Amino acid sequence: MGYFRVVKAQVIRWTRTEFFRPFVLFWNLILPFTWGLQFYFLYLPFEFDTINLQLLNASNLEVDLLGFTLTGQFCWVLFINASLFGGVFFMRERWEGTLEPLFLSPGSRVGVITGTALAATVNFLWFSLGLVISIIILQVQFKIGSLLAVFFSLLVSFLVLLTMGMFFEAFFIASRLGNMWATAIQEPLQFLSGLVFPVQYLPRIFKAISIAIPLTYIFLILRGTLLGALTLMDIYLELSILLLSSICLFFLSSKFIVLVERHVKHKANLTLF
Amino acid sequence: MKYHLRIIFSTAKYNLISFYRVFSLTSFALRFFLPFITMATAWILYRVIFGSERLKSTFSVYSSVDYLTFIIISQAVFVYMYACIFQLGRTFFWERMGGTIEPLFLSPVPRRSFMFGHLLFSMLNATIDFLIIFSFGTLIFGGKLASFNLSLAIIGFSLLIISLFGVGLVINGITLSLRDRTNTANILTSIFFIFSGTIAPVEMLPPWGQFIGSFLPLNYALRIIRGSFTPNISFLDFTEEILLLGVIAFLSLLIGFIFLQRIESSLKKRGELTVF
Repeated sequence: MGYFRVVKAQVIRWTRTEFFRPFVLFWNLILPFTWGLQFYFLYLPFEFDTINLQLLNASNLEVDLLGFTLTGQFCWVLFINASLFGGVFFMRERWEGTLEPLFLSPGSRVGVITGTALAATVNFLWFSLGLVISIIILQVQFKIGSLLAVFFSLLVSFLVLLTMGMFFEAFFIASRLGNMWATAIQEPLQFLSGLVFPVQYLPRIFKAISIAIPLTYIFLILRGTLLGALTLMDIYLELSILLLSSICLFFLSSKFIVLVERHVKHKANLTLF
Repeated sequence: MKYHLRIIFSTAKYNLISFYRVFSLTSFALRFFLPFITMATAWILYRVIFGSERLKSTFSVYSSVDYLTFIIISQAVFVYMYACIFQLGRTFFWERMGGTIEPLFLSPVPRRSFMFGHLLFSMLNATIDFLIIFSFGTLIFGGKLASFNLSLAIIGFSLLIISLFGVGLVINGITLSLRDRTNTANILTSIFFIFSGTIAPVEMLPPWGQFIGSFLPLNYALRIIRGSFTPNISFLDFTEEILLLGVIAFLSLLIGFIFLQRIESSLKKRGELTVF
């Protein structure tokens, strides 16, 4: 069945059932607020004016802590929604007994995981509401040098997180430990990707790991274009890496979901808990 | 008395056995990742990004220990908070999930003894985690322990555990009535983590943050416990904290027991004790 038709169906379905759930509201309104406060307060014992960010081309820019924290939360909550919520939706499918019919249907599997990831990102609208209110109350100052750079940064970031979400979903379908892994990886990712402090300050061995995490580049380009007045020419390296990551992740997740389905049907454990 | 002790120890024993029989990555991550990563982040902020010269001078006024020791002690003690919220606070939730809540409430087992047993298990567990985090934190991140006042530390930990018991009872009531374990636990963990002086002294927070922190038992317990690692300090230097923590401990116990009793009667009256 057509890819786009399946995507549309998944988006409508999950948005209708999940958008107003307290669980979604909590993860998109309350938790980001507390995370933001936590990371902001970590800096309180120190005297400083700005935080130094280093791009891949070794150029530096200075951003203020409030903007640094807010943009970090923006990316992080989008990541949580795209990458983890989608997986949680499949867990619910399994609990509710609809996973088997889904995989017996002729619907495009890639469409299923794309639609679910997209539906999960719709929840991000709640966070956007909180973000706008925070920006107004806290009077956050943006430094935008190029609207085109901001647009492409947002677009590419969204694409990468969507494809990361698709990849995670395939994993959630294959494993009953998806929720556990999703919980376990959050703190290491926060540490290694530049959410709390810029990755240039990481010890060398951890910096090598952070290079492999797409979130690292997402934080850089969004902070750079929103707070550092960067243009497309300043971030073309990061954008290229992210675009490549997105294509690879889409390709991998498309292959992975086919493999996963074949495996679980062969083992007949698709619906087992 | 012997009967109550038997209930307490048997409850603690079966919990310890089942906890350590099956390794849970989620539980391990929640207990250890957050403290170690917070310590690592603090180390990077202090040693790499800012350096000791950019630490605010007011920090030494508000903290009796240096910055890294401050963070290490806070993160190590925070495991007691985790034990309260995620283990003690979900006692009746898991009893309901396991289908044993009805037989439990029909049995003549005194609730207090049963909950004391769970408290004993969770705090024993927390003490093991505390020792691990504290030792590794001190060795890896360089905490400075100039001295140790055992009696002051015992006072701090004892009052903290009593107040957390009360908090745990309240959380049990909430999870029983709202049928929620994740959102309640995460909100409370965040509130205690941010406003109890675990990442920065409470006095350095904004005024509204200090106001919230003034009600949290962990705030006072951390000051007392940090004080126990400071030379030339006695419990008389922490009279205010000990008194306040004592009052909070008494009130939280009282509120906890009454709240849980009310929730249990209400659920039994409505026939919703075992309903999901």
